[in-house]
Amino acid sequence: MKRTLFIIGGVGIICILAGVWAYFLFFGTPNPDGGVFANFNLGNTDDPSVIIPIEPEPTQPVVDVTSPERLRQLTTQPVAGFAEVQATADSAPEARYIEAGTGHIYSIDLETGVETRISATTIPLTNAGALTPNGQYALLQSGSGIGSEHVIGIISTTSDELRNFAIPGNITSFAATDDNTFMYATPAGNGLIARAYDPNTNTVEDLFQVPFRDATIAWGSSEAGPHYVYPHTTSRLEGYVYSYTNGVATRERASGYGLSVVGSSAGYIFSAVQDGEYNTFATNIATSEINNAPLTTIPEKCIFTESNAGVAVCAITLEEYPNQMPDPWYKGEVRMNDSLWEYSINSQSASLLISPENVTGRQLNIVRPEFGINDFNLYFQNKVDQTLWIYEYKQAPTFNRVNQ
Amino acid sequence: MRLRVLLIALIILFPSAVVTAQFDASQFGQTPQLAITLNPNNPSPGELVTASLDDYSGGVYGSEITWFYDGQVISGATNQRQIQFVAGDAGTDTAVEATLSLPTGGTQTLQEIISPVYMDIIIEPQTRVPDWYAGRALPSLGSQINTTVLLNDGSFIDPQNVVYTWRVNNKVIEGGPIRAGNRVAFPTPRGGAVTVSVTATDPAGETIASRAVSVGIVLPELSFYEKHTLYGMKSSPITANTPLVGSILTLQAEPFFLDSRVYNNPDVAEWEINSVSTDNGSSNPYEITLRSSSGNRSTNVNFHVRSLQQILQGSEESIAINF
Repeated sequence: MKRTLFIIGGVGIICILAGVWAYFLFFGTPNPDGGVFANFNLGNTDDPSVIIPIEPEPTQPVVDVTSPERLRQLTTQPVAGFAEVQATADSAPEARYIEAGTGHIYSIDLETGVETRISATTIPLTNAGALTPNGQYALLQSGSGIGSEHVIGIISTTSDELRNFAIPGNITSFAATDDNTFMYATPAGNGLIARAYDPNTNTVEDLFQVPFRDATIAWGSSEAGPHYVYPHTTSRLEGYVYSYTNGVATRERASGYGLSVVGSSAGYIFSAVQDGEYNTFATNIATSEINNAPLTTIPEKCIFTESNAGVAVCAITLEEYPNQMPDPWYKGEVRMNDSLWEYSINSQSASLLISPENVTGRQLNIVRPEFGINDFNLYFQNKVDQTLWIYEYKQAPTFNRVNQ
Repeated sequence: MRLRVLLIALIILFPSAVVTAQFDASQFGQTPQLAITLNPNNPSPGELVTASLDDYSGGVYGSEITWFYDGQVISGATNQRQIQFVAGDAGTDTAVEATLSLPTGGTQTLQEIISPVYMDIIIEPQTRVPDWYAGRALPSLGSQINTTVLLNDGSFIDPQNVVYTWRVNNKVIEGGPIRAGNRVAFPTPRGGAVTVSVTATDPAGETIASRAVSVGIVLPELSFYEKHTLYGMKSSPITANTPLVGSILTLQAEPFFLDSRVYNNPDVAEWEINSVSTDNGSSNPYEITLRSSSGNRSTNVNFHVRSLQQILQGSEESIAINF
């Protein structure tokens, strides 16, 4: 190339740069949103070839407890125990939960959505807990197996300190009653003994004895029961159901492989492998009838309502269940995509309440369903991350919802 | 001559007359078998029962048979030799009757009383399952099986008043029938399954109930779970597709259904990382903490637990960890 061409090109570039410099010198103004040199005021683009970076979705879902949706996620942290609490007859119900790992206790105002830590006392490795409906007491399990410890916590209304003391002995299962006491089972000889502890009076009362060790207890809502007891479930061994009411044992007409049960005073729902298939059945105690349930579920995913002992709400996945159930679900090998169904054991009918996947876009593997006061709210946990959720089962007219 | 013939005839006929007398049961007070038999003999409440009319005397021939259950005629069962019905509730006594209207006139009534009793055989294998696992442990070879039998006739029957005969694979254990022995323990034998049967009788020897169950024997299974310092173990096992967050991971190996004695004191409990034997650096032999190193994001982790006395009491499993 000729030298002249180089000189002409260089002068041209210098002129362009000088023009740009002059433009910014006279017309460019500082932009508070970014650097001046990053804004050439070229206007917005609708060019589809432009790739606009998308912010990654947060890994922890955003929780909005005052959302108008009937199904809402209450926590993003794993929860060890929860209950709906009403301190006095005039006060509004609030959701309380025990944080897994720390044992801290939080309260969520269901009207405003404000979350308050009411106990900052750390109980390490807390993995299970129960709260009394009056909100005064908590029972927490720390650790697991033989090394586990169980403490009774007295919740203070004036400070965030939890006064607590340990319950001696090995506790295999526990629950709170509607009467603000705790029920728990502890090994005794070759079996278990179920006891009630009243934290108000600091008294212990024997409820009933189970003549074997590997027992699952589906606790009733009161000390009187009925409590449903069965050997730990497996599809490889036969199970049987016993109910205990006022300390008296009754052998129920339910047995089979893979057997588990949930019940009320009106009847019980059980699932078992029969003729090579995992199926669900319902027994109506008044009529002594046993019927095939219209849908198959794992009974641990069901809870009977307090207002109607013949109606239960169950989390159901509409898929065919393998006949090894529920073992792979217990092991965490099978995840479920549950919907909530209302099931009447009297009319043998079931109706869909809500599909979490349709509403939230998330698949939930529902465990530990519990009703709140007067069955207005149904609380449950997602087995995958142990987070706490609420479903407004009945529309509560007394609640003034925000954002509605 | 006539006398000789008579003597010979007597010699020939006399022994046969004696033999005939030996088989004449009626002379010894034994009545011909005509009875109702039940299958099963001692039904559970709600169990389907077959009642059969057993007639070894031919006395039913030509008779009209009418069946009654709890005093009510069973319709459609007239002249049937066999009927089926569902046993009643525990604690109830129900009569099953067959009335024979004999062709020679007169009637004969046979009766059996059904007293259904639940006999529940509860198997409690003494093998390892984690505390959070809601299911029951399963027996593996050599592990101890605790077995309890519960009799219920409306309420639990006091085992002190019952004699139990236990059999494992058809061999009587505990040296024979034992009073109040509603609980036994035995080692899991070889094979794919073990048959446990028990017969309960009252002290006079009358059978109350009898049942057998087949119990499948499994091999120990190893799964890996992520263990969080604060929250403990996660409820789902780690697989190759499990996303792991962070550069440090504590793994817990869970040998499901390993004999509890072996779990508590294993002869072999060995971790390998990328085929290199590694000290897990923890007092818990089933736990190891891994830290990812830059440039190597996939790690093969192997764990092996075993008893050297009972070689099938063990398990070995590998998993690829992708940080």
